[in-house]
Parts: sequence; C-alpha cells; structure tokens
Amino acid sequence: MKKNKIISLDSNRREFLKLSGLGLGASMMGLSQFSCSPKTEEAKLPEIQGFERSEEDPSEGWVPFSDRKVRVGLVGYGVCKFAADFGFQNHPNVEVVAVSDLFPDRCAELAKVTGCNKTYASLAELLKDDNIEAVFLATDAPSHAKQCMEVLKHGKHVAVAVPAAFGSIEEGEELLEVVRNNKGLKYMMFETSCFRQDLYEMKTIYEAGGFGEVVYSEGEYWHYSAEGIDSYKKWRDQSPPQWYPTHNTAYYVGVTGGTFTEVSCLGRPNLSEKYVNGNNQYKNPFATEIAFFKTNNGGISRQSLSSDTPGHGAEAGRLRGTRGSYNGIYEGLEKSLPNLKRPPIPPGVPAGGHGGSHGRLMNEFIVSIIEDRKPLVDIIAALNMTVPGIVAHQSAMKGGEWLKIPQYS
Amino acid sequence: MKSKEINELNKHVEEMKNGSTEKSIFSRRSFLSSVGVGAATVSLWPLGCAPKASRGSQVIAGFDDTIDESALSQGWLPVSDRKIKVGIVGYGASKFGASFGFQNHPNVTIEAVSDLFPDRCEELARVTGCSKTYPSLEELVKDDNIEAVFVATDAPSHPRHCIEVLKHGKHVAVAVPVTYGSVEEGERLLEEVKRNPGLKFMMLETSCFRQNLFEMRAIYKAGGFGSIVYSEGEYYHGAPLQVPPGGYQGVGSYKNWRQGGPPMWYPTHNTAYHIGVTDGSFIEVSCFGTKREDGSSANQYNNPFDTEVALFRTSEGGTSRQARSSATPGRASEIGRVRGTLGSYQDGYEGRMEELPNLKRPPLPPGVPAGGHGGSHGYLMNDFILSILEDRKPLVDIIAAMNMTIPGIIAHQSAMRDGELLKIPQYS
Repeated sequence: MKKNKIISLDSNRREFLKLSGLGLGASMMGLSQFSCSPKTEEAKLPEIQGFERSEEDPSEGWVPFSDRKVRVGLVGYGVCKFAADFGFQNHPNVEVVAVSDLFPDRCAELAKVTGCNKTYASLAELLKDDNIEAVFLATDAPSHAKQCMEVLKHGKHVAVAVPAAFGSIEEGEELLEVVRNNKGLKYMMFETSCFRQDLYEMKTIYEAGGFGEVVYSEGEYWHYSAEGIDSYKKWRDQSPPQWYPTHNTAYYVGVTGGTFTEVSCLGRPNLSEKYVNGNNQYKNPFATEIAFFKTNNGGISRQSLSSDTPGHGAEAGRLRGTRGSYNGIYEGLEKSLPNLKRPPIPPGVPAGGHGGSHGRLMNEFIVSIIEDRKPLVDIIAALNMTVPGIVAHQSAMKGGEWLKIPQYS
Repeated sequence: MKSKEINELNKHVEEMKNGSTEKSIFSRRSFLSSVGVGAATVSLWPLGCAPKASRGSQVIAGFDDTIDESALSQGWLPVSDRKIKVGIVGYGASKFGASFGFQNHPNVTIEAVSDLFPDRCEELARVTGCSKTYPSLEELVKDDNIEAVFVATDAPSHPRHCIEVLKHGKHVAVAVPVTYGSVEEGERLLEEVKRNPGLKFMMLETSCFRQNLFEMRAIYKAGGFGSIVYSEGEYYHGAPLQVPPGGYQGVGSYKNWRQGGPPMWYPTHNTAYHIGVTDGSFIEVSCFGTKREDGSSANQYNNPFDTEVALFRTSEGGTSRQARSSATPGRASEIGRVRGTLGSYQDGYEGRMEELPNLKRPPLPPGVPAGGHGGSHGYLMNDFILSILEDRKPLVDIIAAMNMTIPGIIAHQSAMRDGELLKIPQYS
C-alpha cells in the first residue's frame, strides 16, 4: 500500500516562493498543482502535476525523411510558457520565423528562448507575415477558436493548445466550417493525453481489436488548485470544470475515435465565496463536475474534473471492453499485442511534459504538414473532446438532466 | 459533515436547478423500452464468494486476496467468557457457512448447522465441528438453544430468512445483499428489525473490513476528508483470461438465482466505498447498462444488461460513481476511492490531516483467520459477535445494509429506463 501523504496548508505558498525564487515573476499565484509546464531552462523544475518528463530516448529509430523546413510562428508565452515548450525550435524540419506575445517582456523572452529574432506585437500582425506557413497558438483558451479561424483565413496551418473552444459550441462549429473551407490546411489540437504512453497503448490495442467493444471508460483530471492559477484577463478563475475536459475525454475519444452522444452531469457546489450562488464571471457554482456520458457504440463513460479536492492529482483514464481492459496495463483475451512504442521524434527534440507528449504532438503536426495527411487530433477529434464538456456543464446547471450532444464527423 | 452544511449544499443545488430557466435546446431523452426477446440465458462469469479450491483451478475474484494472518491477534483482550450459541445456515456455491470463522471464535459455540442439501449439510457440520444438523432454516430457528444465526443462503431468500430468524428471537448476520431486487422485502425486514430492538442485525459486507475502506472510514470520521465531494466503487468480475477446457460454466447457485441477475442488484461490495465510509446515503441515481453481447434479455429477470454503471447524488451533496461489470475481461476488483474537500484516498491518503488516526483494524481473537475478501471475513464475524456481547450497534446495521443495497435496485430501474434520474428511498 502506498504511503499516506500529508498536503500541508502552506504548500501553495511554498511552491510560490520556490518559483518566484527562480525569477518566474511575482504575479503568479499558487502553483502547487499546475498542469502546464513553465519554461525553466536552467532552473530545477518544481514538483508540479503534469510536469513529469519522459526518461527514454524518444529519437530511437528516427529516420530523416525530408529536407523541408516548415516556417512556423509561435504565439503566446503566458503562465504556461507553452509556445517554447513543445520544441518547435528544436525540430530539424522547422524554422521559427517569428514569435509574438501581447506583453513585450514575454515576447522578448520567447524570442530569446526560441532563438528567433523576429517579433510581432500581436497575432494579427504576425499573420500578415507571408513567410509564415504554420502557427502554434499557445494563447488564452477563450481566444483559441477565434484565433485559429484567423490563422486559417490567412492561409496558414494551425496548431492550438487545448481546448478547441472555451464554453462556446457556436465558436467551435464556426471553426469547423473554416477548417472545412480550407482543405489544404492542417488543424491540430495539442491534447497532451493523446501522446501519453498509456493512452497511446490503449489506442493501438483498440485499433488492433484487443478491447472489442468498449463497454465502459473513464477519464479524470484531478487538479487541486486552492488559490487558482493566474491567466490572461483571469479567464481561468472559477471557470466551469467541464469546459476544460480534453485531458480526460481524450481517454475515450482519443482511444476509439468515437463520440459521446448524451450526458448527465452532476456538479458539486463549492462553498467558498467565489463560487456561492455562481457569483462569478461564469455564473458557475461548481469546482467539481462528474459527467456520465453515453457513447456512440452503446457504452458508458465517466468523465471527472475537480479543482477543490486535494490529493492524488491525475490526468488519467482506463477502459473495459468486451475483449479486454486497460488499467495501467492491458489485461484481456488478445495474446499478440501490436507494437506499443510511440513513434520516434527527431534527435534533439525533447519529449517534454505531460507524460512526454509535448515533443511528440509538435512532431506529429509538422509531419502531417510535410506528408500532407490528417494529424492525430484533427478538428473532429478536437470538437468531440471539447464540446461534450460544454454540454455537460449545461446538464450540471440543470441538476443532471440528460442532454443530447452535437455530433461531428 | 454538519447537517447545516449539507442543507446549505442541497439548497444551492436546488437553487441552481430552479435558477436555470432558459429552455434547453436539447430534448429530454425519450423513454426507450429496452426489454427484448432472445434465446438462451448467458452464464455469469462472476462469483462474489470464495469457493473452496477443490471446486476447480479457476482464479476467481475475491478469492486470492487474503492477507498475512500473523500478528492479527496482537493486542487482543478477551471481553467476556460468554459463549454465544450460533446456528449456521447455507453451504452452497460460496461455502460461506464455514468461511467466516464462527467455529474458531472463543465466544462462540456452533449449536447447529443446516443446508437444504443433506450432503452439504453434513459437510458443513463436519468442517465446523458441530454434531447437530437441521434440514432447513425453518427447522433450525425452532431450536431455543440457538441465540444467533448466520444466514449464508441464496440472496433472494435473505430478507425472508432474516425475518424468520428475528421472529424467533435470535440475532442475525447475513451475507450480502440484504435484499435481492425487492425494495419491499428489504423494507419489511427493516420493520422487523425495528420491532426487535434487543436483537442485532448485521450484513456481512466484506468491503467494510478491507484495510483500505477501514482506513477511509477512520480518516473520514476523524475529519481528514472534510466533506466527500466524489467517491467511486467498482465490482468488476471479469471473465477469466484463460477459458477452461470445455468453456467457463459460470457459478452455480441455488435454483440458479445468479443466472441473468441485474448487476446492480448485487452492489454492496462497491457501494460500501461510499456508504461504509461515510454512513451517508445516495439520494438520486442515473444508471446506464450495456447489453449482453448476444443482445438477449430472455432470463428470469428480463435483464438485458451485464454491465451497469451508475452515477449517484449523495446525501452530502457530492457524487458517487458505482460500477458493476461481469462482461469485460480484465482486472477483477472490489475497490473504491474518495475525494473530499480536505483530502483524497486512492491507494493511501493524500490530504491536509497531519496526524492520522489509528488505521489498524481491531485485533482478532487468536485462532480466528482473517479469511477471504481482503481479510475481512473474520473481522466481520468478530464484529457481529462483539456487538452481541457488548450490546452495541454492529458495523453494518440494517440502515447501512439498506443504504448499500436499495440504491442498486433503483439504479437497475433507471438503467431499464435508459438512465432516467430516479429518487432513492431514504432510511434512518
């Protein structure tokens, strides 16, 4: 049995002190559990949820396949410092042409850490640069959908941090239309769970028939955050948990390529002042939402998010099917499993955070452009991971009423 | 959690419900009849009990998870010289009549045993070292010498048998569940228990004395979780990964009561991971079932499902996911976890409580084996005997038993109505 672990009341504060000691800025709030990976080149990384790095040599077996350099623009170097954290600047088939952040200091630092000397004051300015073929958007979630549309309308490929849309089904669907109207351009959402080793194994085994029909699946994003995490214009503060569902919904949608068709979601009111009676920008009373989905193949999926319950942080999932189950490992009737190793990434590209997924997502996006094929998490998968959470929150606000979920294919 | 706080929470839930006046663009799921017609019944893979090894070499869930028996009696002190005269009934597929160690307890004399099948009855007498047998429970309960009866019979007979025992002025311990698919029979038993305040009723829910649940309960009572926001329990009885020669035949049961049983009618191993931790209850449920692979519901229960997963609203305003599956090969488990406002328990506690309470289960009398189901059997039996000796409430009394069992029955109703949100009767 695992040892019990005490989470002391001032652990948020200690993480904060550790981080500010590293010069990461005094404006950051408590980061005791924090799912993104601030760039800390020379600093020792604090123990932060989702921060764990992959130990293997991820480039083993990699073979160069093209001389092309995709000309990339990177946008957004806020709290998560994601623009530099996916390793675009390390990829042999990428040239980072320009970078941007609305804050000049962040913009300058992003340029420095990616070795790029061209900066723009905004995404709008960056998009006018005809030299740029592809843009990575690591901006605030509420801007994702609109900004992706802007990128595509300027004839550029786009990769975006999660989720695809934040609380707005309409914006997600508008984005879908724009993607469809630009068939030559790639859209990819960087859902990190999709390149975690366990999800990758589940997907591979599923496609090889090792699970049969998935009867039940579950995904969870347990992410305690007493003080909250800083964010651009405070978009994270008291946001509905299920509006940020992709780390967990990926454990069904990313495995099977299937969809959720209906949802009943129960929220648990948080009793602190910021949540009571939904007295906040999102009129949201819940910091924990547990959703129960029916799936397109007649199965069930439980998807959970919680930020007000300390302990056992996780971005994880498991499933049970008619031929086998996955809970950390495969147990089932299939005796000859396919190759479960994730595809190699070029030497020098770090696998990165979130279970070694960052480098792999970036590589997948670049390869999809060079090979002109569908990226792993395309717009359909992105919407099928994101929109069910939006409907789930609607259900929670109606006391768990069953609601239908729009289907995308 | 204080009741005032619970009321606050429930009030908030109601307010939020009522406050959302905007009309949903999505329609409510219409009621779908899911009762089909099919051919053969499907044999059940799972077995919630621990058959003797001689029954075959199949690895069966709940069987292998015994614990190191040494040092279990450390710190044990006798509380009484009294010998309670116990009758044991039922030595069927699970052979539970003998596997809870009544015959090993220093405060117990096995007065008589019974099984409807003479050969089983004889074997039960032999393995418990008892010389008196009766051909039925109805005959056994007439024995005025007997003070307490352990009912290890077929689940559908549990409430009827327990009522019979109580009516004869005897304490009763019963295997799970307290009632099988019938809310009415459970409530009739509840009435009978209430009519006999001097008699103990205990349901021997094994999860309640698993080490992890025992720890959760102790930490919860000491305040280390605060209010439970989310809990989950699961009882997966996967099909064996190696199908035996001739095919897996399922588990035998008296008059085949197990054949085709709705998964949520046998929910206590998992619901214990909320009810047994908090002593709370489930108030509403939405449950969804997945159909058997052959699509058949032609069984004695007209039950089309072999997996059922339920989402419950709890009495403290949280949510609980409870899952039962017998159709999915893979890891078998009877386990659960909780998340609260002050801490969580998965495979250990993580949270804000700095000094945890004593997490060791109370000592067993020397010679009493902890037994199967996570070493719970001996502890359950011992708690039942102590509750009689000390005239106190047993760990799993009728209220806890009902609160672990009835929500599963309602959950199956919900599954049959395609997940409709249903209210659950409350007992206290």
